[in-house]
Amino acid sequence: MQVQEITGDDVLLDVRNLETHFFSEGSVTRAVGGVSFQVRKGETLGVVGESGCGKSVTSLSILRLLPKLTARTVGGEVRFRGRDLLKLSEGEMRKIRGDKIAMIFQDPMTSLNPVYTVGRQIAEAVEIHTGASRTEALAKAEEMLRLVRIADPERRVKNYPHEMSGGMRQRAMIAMALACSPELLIADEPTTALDVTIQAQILRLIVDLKERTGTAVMFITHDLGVVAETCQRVIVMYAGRIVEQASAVDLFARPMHPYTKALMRSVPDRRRGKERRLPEIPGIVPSLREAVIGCSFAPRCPRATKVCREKTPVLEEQGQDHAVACWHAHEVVSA
Amino acid sequence: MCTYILRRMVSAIAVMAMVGIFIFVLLRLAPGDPAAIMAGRNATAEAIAGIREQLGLNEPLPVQFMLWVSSMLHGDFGTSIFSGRPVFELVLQRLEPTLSLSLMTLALSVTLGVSLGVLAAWRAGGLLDRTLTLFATLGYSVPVFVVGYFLVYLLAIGAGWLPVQGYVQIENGLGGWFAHLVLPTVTLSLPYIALIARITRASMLEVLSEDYMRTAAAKGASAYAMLVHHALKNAGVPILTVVGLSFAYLIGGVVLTETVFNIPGVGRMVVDAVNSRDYPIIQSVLIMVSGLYVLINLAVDLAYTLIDPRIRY
Repeated sequence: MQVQEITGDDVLLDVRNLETHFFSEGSVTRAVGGVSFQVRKGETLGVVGESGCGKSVTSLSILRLLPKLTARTVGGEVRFRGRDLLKLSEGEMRKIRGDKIAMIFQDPMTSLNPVYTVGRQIAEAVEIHTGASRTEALAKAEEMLRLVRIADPERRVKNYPHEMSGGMRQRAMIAMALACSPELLIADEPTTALDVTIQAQILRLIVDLKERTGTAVMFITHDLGVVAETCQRVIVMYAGRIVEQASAVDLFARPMHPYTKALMRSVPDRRRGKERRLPEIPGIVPSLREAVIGCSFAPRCPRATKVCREKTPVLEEQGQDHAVACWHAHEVVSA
Repeated sequence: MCTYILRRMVSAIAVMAMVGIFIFVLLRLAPGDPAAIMAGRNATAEAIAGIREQLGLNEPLPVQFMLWVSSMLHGDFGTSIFSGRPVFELVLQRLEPTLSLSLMTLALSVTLGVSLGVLAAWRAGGLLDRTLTLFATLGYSVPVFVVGYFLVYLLAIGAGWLPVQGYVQIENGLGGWFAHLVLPTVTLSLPYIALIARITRASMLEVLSEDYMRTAAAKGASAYAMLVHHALKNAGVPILTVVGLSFAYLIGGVVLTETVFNIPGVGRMVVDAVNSRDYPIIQSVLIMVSGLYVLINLAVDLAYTLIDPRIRY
């Protein structure tokens, strides 16, 4: 049985069999190898996985922001409100970026242009997409800074990025992303580069603004704790593929893929006590340069059998909105 | 900022003093005696001695030096040994062609160099980029007089589109002025266009891979806005440095170009003065040029603050 297709008006983004490859001097890296998922209107979708599993490349492929010389999306569709973004011209794509789909990035220290004021950078998005004048756009920028709870926005709007702290800069990035009220916000590890105390504040801000604006959020993270706090649905990625997809509640209650289970075990838990060493996942993420035969997690999987090494498992529905790509899914649940 | 400018001014005075001593000593060490040249080939020893006395060349060198410095501080740059006219006046007369040539060269080099560099970085590795690299290597390695004579042969003598040499003052017609400046400007500009284009390309390539460029793209910024608005300003500091340096080297290039194209500018005047050992002209023009050089450097350093808000003095 294949994954059930959610159809109808509530689907905002429908990614089908997305494949993105990187090319470098004769070798091809299959960074994203056939990924399909959907984001519904107003929901928060978590995308989880280790570094190098293809989560960021997936998000950059959606907005077509990958470097043209080295990366290419070689297959699949990215349907946003029914239109395939991969088929749009560069000019049409620019109208989507920052207006319908906005993005915030991992490192707020380097993601803002150092030679322009923060206000002007937020205003730029408004000017591009609404045709507002510089003065109107700057007023909007100030309003956005107030919305993301930056104190003294009248003054901060004239600040350069180097005059702000990391947390404040990430707030400014969020203000920039939300300035044109996008329908989808892609947040690529938005709290990873921040102090732990600031992380919680930024997270709360995103969740809060999402509630107020009804924007759908695609939350890319390697932090399962963040997923548990913010997301309704989760996809787990490994080596450029989706290995499990479920509602957040279901995923934490009943993880079916051995990789998901391993990830959950490696999250620190206060109740477990201090003396126990945090379990890690043995082995390393496989190189994506060679074609994978069988399940790509098999070399690190305690349950791997002959079939795992010979045939690649496909994502299969295992109950209400819960799909997994594993030959031994049922044994994992019962274990 | 003000204290910074003041400090730079003080160090400028020290620099000028050293330049002054250097020029003075160098000239006196060079072979050749202006009195002998002035007196002519068949002059008697007494006649030459008389001229030496008259020009003050018999004073001890330190006295000659102090006299020169103190008169300069009073705004007197001396009088030419041969024409007997004040050096300052002579320079003013010759300033227009030199200024026209320098400023037009600078304008052409900066606009063309920066635009070509930006385009090459935008299409890095492409046909345009590789063509520009080849052009830049040529432009930088072929000397002014070779390019100059080649262009004269091709466009002036061969095609007859442009005057071969000479100069027409602005007041005698803008068309003639411009036509006479085209070949010298192009000739003089080539190495600077090449240099500025290469630096712009390298600096732009570095900036284009920065995270904030991706942010700008994610906002929906156009290719033009990305390149010119977001990238070029960030790439500006090294470009400005090279433009400032180019202006300094330009002074040397102007001398050569004025000779090749027979333009009656300050450069030619200095060359003539060197040939006839007209010490006051050489000394004073060199001092003025080094003063200009110090000022340009200061202006470039101050201009950095306009480009990058993180730079503060």
